[in-house]
Amino acid sequence: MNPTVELANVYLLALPEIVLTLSACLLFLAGTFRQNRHFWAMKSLGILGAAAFILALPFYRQPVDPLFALQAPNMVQPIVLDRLALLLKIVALIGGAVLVLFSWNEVSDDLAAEYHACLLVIIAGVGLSAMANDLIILFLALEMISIPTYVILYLQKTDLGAREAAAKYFLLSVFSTGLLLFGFSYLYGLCGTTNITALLDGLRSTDAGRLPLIALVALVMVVAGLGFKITAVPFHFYAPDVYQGTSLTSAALLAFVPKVAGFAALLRVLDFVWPGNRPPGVALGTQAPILFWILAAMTMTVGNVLALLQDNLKRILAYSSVAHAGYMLIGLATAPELAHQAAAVGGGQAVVFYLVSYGAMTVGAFAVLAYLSTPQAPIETVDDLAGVSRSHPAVALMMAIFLFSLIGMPLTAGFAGKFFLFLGALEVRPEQAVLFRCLALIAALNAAAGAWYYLRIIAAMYLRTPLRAIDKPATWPGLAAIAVCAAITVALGVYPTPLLQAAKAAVGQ
Amino acid sequence: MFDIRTLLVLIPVLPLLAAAVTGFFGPRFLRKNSHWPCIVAVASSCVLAFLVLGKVAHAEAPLIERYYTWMQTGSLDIGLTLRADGLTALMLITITFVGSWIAIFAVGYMSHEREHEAGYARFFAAVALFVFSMTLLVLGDNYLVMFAGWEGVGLCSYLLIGFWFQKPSAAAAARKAFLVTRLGDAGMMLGILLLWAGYQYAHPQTTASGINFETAFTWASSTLPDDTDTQLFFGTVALLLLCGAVGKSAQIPLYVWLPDAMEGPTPVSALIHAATMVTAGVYLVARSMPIFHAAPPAVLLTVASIGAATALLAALIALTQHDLKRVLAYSTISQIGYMFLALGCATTDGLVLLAVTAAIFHLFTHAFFKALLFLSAGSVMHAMGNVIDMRRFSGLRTVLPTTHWTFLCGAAALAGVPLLSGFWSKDEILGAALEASHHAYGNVYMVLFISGLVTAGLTAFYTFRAYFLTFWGEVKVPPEAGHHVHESPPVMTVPLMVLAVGAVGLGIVVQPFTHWFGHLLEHHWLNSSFGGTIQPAPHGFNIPLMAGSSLFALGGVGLAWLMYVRSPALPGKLAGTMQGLYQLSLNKFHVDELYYVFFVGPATLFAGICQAIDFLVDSVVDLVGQLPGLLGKLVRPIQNGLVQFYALAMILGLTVFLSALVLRMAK
Amino acid sequence: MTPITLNHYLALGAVLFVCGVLCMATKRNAIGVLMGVELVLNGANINFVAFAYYLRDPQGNAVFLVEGQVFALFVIVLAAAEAAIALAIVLNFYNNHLTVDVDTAEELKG
Repeated sequence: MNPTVELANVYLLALPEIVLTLSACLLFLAGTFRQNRHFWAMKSLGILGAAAFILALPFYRQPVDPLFALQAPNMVQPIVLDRLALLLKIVALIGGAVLVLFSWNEVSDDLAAEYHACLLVIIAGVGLSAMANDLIILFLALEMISIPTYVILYLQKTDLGAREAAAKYFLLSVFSTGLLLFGFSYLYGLCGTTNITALLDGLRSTDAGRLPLIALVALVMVVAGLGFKITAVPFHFYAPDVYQGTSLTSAALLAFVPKVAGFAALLRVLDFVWPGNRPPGVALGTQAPILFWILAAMTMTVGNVLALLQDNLKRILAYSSVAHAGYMLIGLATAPELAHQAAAVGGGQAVVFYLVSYGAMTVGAFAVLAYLSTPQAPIETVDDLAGVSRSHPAVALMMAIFLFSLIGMPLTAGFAGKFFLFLGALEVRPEQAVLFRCLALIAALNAAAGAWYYLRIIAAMYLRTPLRAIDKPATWPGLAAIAVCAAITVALGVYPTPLLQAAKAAVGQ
Repeated sequence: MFDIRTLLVLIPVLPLLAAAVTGFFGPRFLRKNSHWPCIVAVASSCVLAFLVLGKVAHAEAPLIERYYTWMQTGSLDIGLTLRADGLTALMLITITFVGSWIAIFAVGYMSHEREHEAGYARFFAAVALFVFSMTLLVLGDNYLVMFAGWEGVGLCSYLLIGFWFQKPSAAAAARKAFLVTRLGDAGMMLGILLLWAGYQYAHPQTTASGINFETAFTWASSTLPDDTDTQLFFGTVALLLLCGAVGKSAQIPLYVWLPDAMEGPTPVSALIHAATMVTAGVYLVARSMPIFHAAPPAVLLTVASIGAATALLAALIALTQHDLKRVLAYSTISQIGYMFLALGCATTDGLVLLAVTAAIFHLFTHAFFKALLFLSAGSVMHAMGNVIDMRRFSGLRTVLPTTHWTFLCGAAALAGVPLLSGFWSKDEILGAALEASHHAYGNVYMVLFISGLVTAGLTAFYTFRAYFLTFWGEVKVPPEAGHHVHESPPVMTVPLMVLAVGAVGLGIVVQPFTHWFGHLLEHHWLNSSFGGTIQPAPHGFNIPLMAGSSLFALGGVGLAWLMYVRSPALPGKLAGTMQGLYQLSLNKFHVDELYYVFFVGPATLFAGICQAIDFLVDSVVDLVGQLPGLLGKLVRPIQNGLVQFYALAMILGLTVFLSALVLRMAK
Repeated sequence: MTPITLNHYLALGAVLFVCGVLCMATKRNAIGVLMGVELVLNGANINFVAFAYYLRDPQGNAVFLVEGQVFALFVIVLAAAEAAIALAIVLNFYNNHLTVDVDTAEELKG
């Protein structure tokens, strides 16, 4: 086949991302001429819609199972549009739209164009990282997420805390990139290629029991680098400080977007995705599960116990996001174990499901805080939410839904997600069963303890009298963002099957 | 009129609709009429529940209806499936019948809340939501639907205990209840997941889901006697499920939340914390009986021991309480302990039916008389201006005649006065324990039986102590009650009378002679769950046992009478009587003293010890609750805000992981 | 004299990495911390380039693997982009804190 034609096909796969990036460039340029946050938010929504349209276009004519036809069977391309990529691209676009709605009134007029342009680049980065089948592309995609995030952190707020948050996030994020790159360099050295499929094939052909030391170093480095993005302990330190210092929109962005990209990258690089004709296998041997076991146990425990002590809502949600990352890491720990048995819910599948659920409930919770905050009277601590149920019954109800979902009450997305993750841990076959039952026990205790701090917020909203009046005028975009998140949270709890099956198809079994 | 499919779904949906309507429109539009949707919905559900009972009684097998697929992937297939069988039908009737009358009572009781209408609507919305969750709990045909209802009732309980959230104690009690029960729920969830995974592992080719009742129970009841691995597996599952049951039903060591839960409005105490929700644990164990039965017998012994110990401990604590509602709360804990004791006696095929019938029968009668007692206490509170300390009022039998009679009915039923409903059900439990003492761990069961008998005496004593203190003696009314202390309005007294009739008469009608109860449970539930291996229970009465337990009950009542009615008047009488009679009285007085030295004194001492134990357990549970926080305080300094330190921590973590993996690899 | 092999370069990369980490953990100055990070990145770069140069195909023939070199180029470009943002952030930091010592930033913690 003519290599030029093939390359052109590859570009076509990334057309939505290309559109997003080019539009973002235009926004950067045109921002000087028009300074109106509503105008630019509307434009961004339009651009996201256009990207979604382009994404959907190829499926218009052949709607039945076209996905694997889009790519070469041996997957040597640098980017692939498999089901995982497609699912995460849809998630990224929806998430992007929610974030635009959410920040409708939260950005200042003069920075609106830049803010939205950065957001578009970030969304493009998520899409690209979901598609990346090459270490270079993956690295570039992750940077496409990180660099605009630095800019957003730097632009949005100008007080002392925000500066500190920006500096902290920047330095630690660049450091984590360094760790990731170092890991990548060893991976490259092991097989002499940066193509992920080829790389994993090469690794699989070596004896898994006797991996070279360099492969272990690569594994740990990659996990550390991406662990920063998913806030795994001990790479989570930045999260509470940065969330607290920065604006609510940035905090929501940080809580959601890097996690999606980070988990997507982990799934791909560590050989947890087995689409179509690719048999399940674990290129990095038997060491990955135990590593993720430890990470998961530490992450959820540290996240939950530290959240107990917080008063600041953003810090609570930050530690909560750490804890939830811990739950998701269970899925990564079980994925290789479950791949070789006829498990009902694979680890990777549960992770993808939980990612979406987590995104909806966490972004929703941040959106509620942003909706109720005014520049003069920001919602900072639990006390600020006291009695909200009386002044804003609908918003309080939706916040309660998010919080109950985070607690894991049945009929919410959070319950379904936890159920699948914990189920996976108990499904592991006898050789490792005791180990993973312990993990499930730790997780269940954590989920029980975690209820305390969410319940505090609910109690404040419903069972206390307002300390001060919250008189924020109703704005439909903010409300729409909250409503979308609430709808997703409830829908995934009541009828999780479609997403669950999409997730299964995405990671393969 | 309705097919079973519609019937089953309507029972939970009607209260749900009522909750939604009241929640959304109550504060603005319904205002003072916010109780109507709740009452109408729950009463309709009650009618439907009776229809379901009729259908179940004519059906050969449990009626199972699948409405939609909740979650499905691979071999995981969990539907929203509802079922009706003997057990479900009985639970439904208990919940909706008692619930309807309690809701009606609440209209009168909550009348002062009608002034601020938002609270009034909130109350009835939460009650309706509770009935929805509770009916879902008992209707679910797999553990996951059941768990959904299970968490739902916990949530409603939280909302209702904290109803008067202005009181810090109410808010604290609400949170304590939620968190303590959730600790148990964590175990229960693990049990459910483990059951599913275990079934999947044992049946790799199957598409059936191990958490469906039928599937799980068929598997459990087909376990071979020498298959110790599977038995141990079921033992683990059963113990994990028991965690949930112990939390929800307030048994040792997780009972500490229930006495505090009395901070809620009294109708809530009656509905949730006496009649229905707290018995969910009994329902869970009864429902899962095939699993408990397949487990090693030590598991059932654990159930029985927890039950008997809780029954005794709570009864002893109840002896010395001054708060009328707290007496009733400890009494609830104690009576549920009885039910667990009964369930724990199902050690052989022949005992299953006896044990389960006894437990569910007691659950049923207890729902009536305990709800009645709570509502009567509520009526007293209502009249006394929310004073509930028994030291501050007395002699109310003339002031509140209707309440007095209904309370007496409830108290007599609870005490186990012969021929009343509590007598029959308690007797069945003691009979089951006695029967179990002939089989595995017989000696232990004998001890449990004796402790049950002692508890029966204590129950009679503390119940009538409360009754005499409240309704006898000179008339004393606290100032909070105002000038015109009067009986409650009919909207409150009619439910009391209805429940009183139930408390007095239901027991004798449904089981001891007609065996309706046992029949329903056996033919329409247990037989299918156990695959037909259980043997019918022997009919007939154990007359010596009945005589013995009546003796204990009446002895307790008599002792209470002696101590709280007769003795206080004694010194006055003594002064005015003749010398000869004086001697006689003196002798009787000696008898009283003997009573005191040999019964009351040790009992009080023991009660004191038990209160110390209560305090200890409470502190331990609190400490367990504090542990995560303490751990957090330990870890917190690491989050010191310094970038360099964060980077260092990252690199340290990396190094530790790497060396751990390398070491593991080298091994 | 022994020839310089792949392992020498890998050792150099590792040393650079460790130096970078130490620099990052010990410097108070934000620019210093950033320099530490750059050392880490360059350690990775050395690995990439060395692997690209030394790796053999399965038959043992020397092949020129372009990906490693390309990767290194991308890293250099991105490091430059990050330096630009670093400048902005550090400047801003200076505006508020009147110093570029990052250990003055400890308002957010706990």
